[in-house]
Amino acid sequence: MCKFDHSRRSFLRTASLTSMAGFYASPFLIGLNSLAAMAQSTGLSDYRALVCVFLQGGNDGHGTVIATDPTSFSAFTQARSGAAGLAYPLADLLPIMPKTSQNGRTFALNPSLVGLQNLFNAGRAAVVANTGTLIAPATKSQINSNSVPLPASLFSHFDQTAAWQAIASNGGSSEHVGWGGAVADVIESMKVNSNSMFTCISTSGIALFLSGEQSYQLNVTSAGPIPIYGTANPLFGNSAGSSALQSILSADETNLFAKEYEVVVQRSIQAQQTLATAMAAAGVRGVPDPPQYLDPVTNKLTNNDLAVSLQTVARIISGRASLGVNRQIFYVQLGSFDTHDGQAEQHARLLSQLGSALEYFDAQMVAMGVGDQVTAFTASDFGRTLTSNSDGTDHGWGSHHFVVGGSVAGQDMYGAYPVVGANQADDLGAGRLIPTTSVDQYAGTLARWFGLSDGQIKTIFPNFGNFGTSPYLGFMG
Amino acid sequence: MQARPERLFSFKLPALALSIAAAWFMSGCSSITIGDPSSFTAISAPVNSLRVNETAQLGTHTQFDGTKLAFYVNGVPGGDAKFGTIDSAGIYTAPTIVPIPNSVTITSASVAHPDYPKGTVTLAIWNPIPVVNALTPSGFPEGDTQVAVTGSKFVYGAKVMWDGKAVDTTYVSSTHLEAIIPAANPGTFPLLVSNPDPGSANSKTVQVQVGPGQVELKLQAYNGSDVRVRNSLNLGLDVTGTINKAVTLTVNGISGGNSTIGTATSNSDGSITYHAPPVVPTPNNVVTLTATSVDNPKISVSQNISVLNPIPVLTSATPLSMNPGPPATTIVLTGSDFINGAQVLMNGAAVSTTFNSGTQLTASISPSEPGNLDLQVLNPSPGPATSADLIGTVNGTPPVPIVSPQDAARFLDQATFGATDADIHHLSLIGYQPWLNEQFAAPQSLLTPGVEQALIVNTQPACASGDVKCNAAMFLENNQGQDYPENAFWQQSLTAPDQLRQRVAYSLHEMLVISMTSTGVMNMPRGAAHYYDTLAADAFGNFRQLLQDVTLNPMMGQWLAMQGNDKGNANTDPDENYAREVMQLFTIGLYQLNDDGTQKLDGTGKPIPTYSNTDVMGLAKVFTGFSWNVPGNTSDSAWSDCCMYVGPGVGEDLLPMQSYPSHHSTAQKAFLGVTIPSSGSPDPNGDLKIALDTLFNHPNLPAFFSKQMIQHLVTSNPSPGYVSRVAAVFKDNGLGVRGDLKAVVTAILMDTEARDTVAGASNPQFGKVREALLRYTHWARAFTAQSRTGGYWIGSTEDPIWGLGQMTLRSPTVFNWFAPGYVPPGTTIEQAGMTGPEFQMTNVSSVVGYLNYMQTAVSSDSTNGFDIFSSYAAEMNIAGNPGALVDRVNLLLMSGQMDSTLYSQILSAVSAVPVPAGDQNAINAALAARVRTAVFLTLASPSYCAQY
Repeated sequence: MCKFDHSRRSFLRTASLTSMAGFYASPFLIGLNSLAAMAQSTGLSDYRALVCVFLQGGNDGHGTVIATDPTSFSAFTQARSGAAGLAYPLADLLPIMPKTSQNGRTFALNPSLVGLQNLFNAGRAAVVANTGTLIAPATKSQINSNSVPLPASLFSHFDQTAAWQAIASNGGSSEHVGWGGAVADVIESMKVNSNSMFTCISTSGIALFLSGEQSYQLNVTSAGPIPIYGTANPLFGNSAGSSALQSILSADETNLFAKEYEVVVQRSIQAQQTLATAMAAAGVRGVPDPPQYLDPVTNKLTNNDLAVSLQTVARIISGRASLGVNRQIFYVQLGSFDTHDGQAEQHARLLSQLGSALEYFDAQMVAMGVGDQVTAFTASDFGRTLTSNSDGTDHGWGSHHFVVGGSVAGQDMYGAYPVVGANQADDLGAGRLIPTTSVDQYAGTLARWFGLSDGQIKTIFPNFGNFGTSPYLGFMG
Repeated sequence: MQARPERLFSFKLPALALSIAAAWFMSGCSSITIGDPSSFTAISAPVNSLRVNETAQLGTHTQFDGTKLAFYVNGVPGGDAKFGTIDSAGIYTAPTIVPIPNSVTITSASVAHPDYPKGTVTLAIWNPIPVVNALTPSGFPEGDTQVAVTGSKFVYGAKVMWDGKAVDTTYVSSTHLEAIIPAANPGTFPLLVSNPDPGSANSKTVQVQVGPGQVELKLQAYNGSDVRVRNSLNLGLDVTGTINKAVTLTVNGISGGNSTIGTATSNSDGSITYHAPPVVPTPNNVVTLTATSVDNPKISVSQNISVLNPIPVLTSATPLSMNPGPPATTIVLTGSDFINGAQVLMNGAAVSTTFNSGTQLTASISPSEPGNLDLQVLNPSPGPATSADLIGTVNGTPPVPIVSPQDAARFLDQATFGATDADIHHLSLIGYQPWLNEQFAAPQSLLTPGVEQALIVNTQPACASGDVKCNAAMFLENNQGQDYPENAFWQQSLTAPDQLRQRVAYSLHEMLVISMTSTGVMNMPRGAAHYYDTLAADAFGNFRQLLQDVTLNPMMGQWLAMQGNDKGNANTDPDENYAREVMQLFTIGLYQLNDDGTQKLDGTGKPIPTYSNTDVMGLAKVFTGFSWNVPGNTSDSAWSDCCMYVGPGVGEDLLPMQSYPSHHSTAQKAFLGVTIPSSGSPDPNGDLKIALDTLFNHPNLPAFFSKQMIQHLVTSNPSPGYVSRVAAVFKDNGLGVRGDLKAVVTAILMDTEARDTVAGASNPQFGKVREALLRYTHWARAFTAQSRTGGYWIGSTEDPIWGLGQMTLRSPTVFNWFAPGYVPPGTTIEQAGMTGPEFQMTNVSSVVGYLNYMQTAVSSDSTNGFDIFSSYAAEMNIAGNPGALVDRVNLLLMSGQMDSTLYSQILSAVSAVPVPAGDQNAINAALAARVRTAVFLTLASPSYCAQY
């Protein structure tokens, strides 16, 4: 998303009349006090957390959740015949049996997803099928005749990552407010957390998803919060140096870049002081270290970075009482799923990490006594094509996702799994799926579990009402 | 209640349940009285816990009183898959997976009298007992071995127990675990699998044979393999497969080495230290250190070590003040560690030098202008290094500089990796355009030769030059070689004379991204270095050439999948990765732009996309049929396999990809309003030319490229006017040429918006966050930092906690470490409608990482800390005068723009360090503390972290 022009921002503020006026709900800026007033009647005094597991690059949903009834499976195998390793022997797949029928078809998970199969069978994970960015429901003929508004730049990583993480009314990405950040803003306005600094936490740099208007995100690595040397102890043997350093790091700055740089430094100092004692240790004295995963390509035990990120999340959750938080939103990232090339190996490797990491994380949540209070969910820029290039697939649109946790109404599939094959109703071409569930619905369902009211959800997701009278999905029970 | 054993046998019960039920009856009755309604529904369990899938027959009174019971599990009639099921006879079957929580409550109700109180029992559901079938490998030698344990009923959290101790275990599935077994000694050892709670249980034990190990030696050059004369280099040594870890050491085959080639000794912790000789060995400065196992002398391992010249120390010069020349003044420079071939640098430029001895040089210098004179000594290769600066004086009234030192420093901050004393002096006397002209004419420094050399020296055993397989492994399948391009980058950015070209190349590589984080590029360290050199080579040429060279570069081909991209068929389409990114990121961006960089809007006020997915698909067909360049060979193996043509100086990683017509699409290709008709004969080069010409001539390119380069070099939010002026030069350099990069760079740096210091300093919206990496190079150049080992052993600084949070050629995605349009949320910058790209990598972790990294860097010295250190000689000379010290640091680091508050805070902190009298060591320590305080406090200040 190119931010060359300020006027685009002003466009979003003022635009309300378009030929598609009925579909665009203007993102009117309700004061956050009013948002607080829309709260559910029950106070949010229990602890709940959402963990966004972002599969960066566009995860191939087709190869993640596979329909295994003879008709579907042969269509899948045929479509993937152009590249070695992108279709699977039926015996290698991991069967799952969703409680709700999808037109009598059977399903299985990618061979590398043992961990997710276990979670699914234990009723602690569910599949949400064919989910993607939409402004309003769209059919193939509507798309082809240009009679329905569509999200902008559909197959661009940058824009679709932003659209997943920051839903805006015009289908582009919101300027810079992610829906996680927007949810955090609501939480902040209701004064649910006594310390708002620890509401939004990322282990993967700054995430658009967690960017809010009032709330800021912290990023924490597995090393935990590190203090600035030379502030607590003499600087080069000189305590005047230490006090000078502290003054300099809080000086008045006029230049905006210097000023905002300093804001980040100050936030870091404050966060470190609290987090250092609150966050549990990694290892036997705190949250056990995750096991390595078995790399399916090399057959070697390899460090699982996603699991380490989730361990960091678990360590922070462990300190929730000291942090004074009842509601937290986390962001972790795994990538790159952009498998134009070498998909057979790369996808297997990444899914192994994903399955192992989620199984590990859920076990930690249960051990910590918050197994029903933390919900992890996958998200991704987009799915991929069903047909392949010579050894991979290209950018798609709708994809299948997982929600994991004790509160999930698991062992089931929600949304509508598409008919598999070319030229089907949901196929925009080359097997790019037109989503039948929107990110708004997916996210709105999670937000409702998190404690937001209908009114608050409709404000954060301006197009929510475009998806029927009952847009919520049932995966949170 | 009496037991009636004979009646039991009429029940058809599973044997286990039978015996459990029998046991219950034998043990006597419950305390319920006959006639109490509870007695009809009372149930009991023969056990307190049950493993998954097991069954238990509940004891009931049904056989005595005929009460028919209905059973519920956790309230569900008959139970369910999650909590277990129970049939009408009261046989409960535990579920397949332990539920959470793991206790189930079974209740019974009388069918006839539902109002009777319910009976209830609680059972704990336990994990199964694991079964071990096999180990692969089933036996192994001493050392660490990864073992697959297969069997059944493994539960997540199961642990492999080796010799009674739990080993880190990876759960792969219910039938497969993996673990790394640390078998320290040969023998027979017990192994079992233990399932976790609830109901933790062990499998049977398997006895495993561990054989004597094959001795294996491994040397770890964790401090690199370069060392300067007289210094020491520590190497790690791993010895496995034997209890006797002793080794004998030779250098160039001589036991222990000698004073000419250096010596090697073993340390008590098992590591090895190489002690470099006092003089670089000739004719070959590379020596071979070999460690041979005492236990098995057939096993040995070697490491090549490069011995490098010392860092010269310049103590004094006589005379230090002189008249301008001609005539030239002969000066005698005194110091130590001068090497024959050393050159004296006057204001950064070499002058005629005579080598008298290791402690004395004579130079004939003819400074043209009165004023300060910057003197340094540069020792020759191997391991060239400059001394710190000695400041002399040229008598007379200094000419009014064409550019003030402050403005010169500020310009150099934009145009180089950091201002130096010498450069400030030089530029201020000659002016901007002449400096630019010198830089345009300066020969290009290259990364590739040094990287190639380092790979060759550090590969053991060495490759014969004709051994393609060995050379391929060294250059194209070597993901251990990344340190070399990284360290070469540091050496080049810190010391290369063609600073402008290198700085522009750095910014180009942040737009035209490849990264060693992807497998293909990671394996090709020489290729990655060569890609960077290609950008630098084209930095002052034409954009059309740059676009061509990037498109056909094999590293880019690996990164964005153009290498080996095949024309489509019924089942496959060409890969679209390069087609999309070359438009989105490299040339035209997503939305149509005016020449001033603002977005064009349609009739309804919306931005206008530049391309659609159809354009991407059309363009993707053009980028088919290009792959490895094996001269004269377009066979199928050359197309798909690498590598056949690799050696020193040559290889598929270096040559631009070649075309393979049979793999090129002949279908119609429509993109950006251009249609290449379908044709009978494939024309990859012709189609490529049309595509690249179309992108080059696209109206978006001038503004798209110009604005981003301005953002990288000068300011994040250039005015539309600034962008227009530069875009106009891109379109036409004044001589009718489009895409003249030399002209564009000149336009960017010479524009009034870049040069107007006062306007920049007084406009809070002007400027940018300095990239952390550039803040580091800035420090290193300002204080003439040197590499202790000579290898510029910095590696990657991408870790946000322990490094700078970014590294050249290592960005995690094609979007670089920050995107041009990034807006930091919740900031005054956002409120002002501005962008702050470098804020995307500025977070609570990385700001701390930067401060801590710089503190260590600043305090490193010739014996401690990072490999790159400064002796701060020029600063030490004035540290007795805090004001002079802070002034100097202000000029070198902040172009004299320190505000008065910051200045006085630093001044006070510096002055608070007392300088004792008497002991010279104590005096030097105090002066050094003053210098470090001044330097670090400046680097730490948010004012410095921004650039305006």
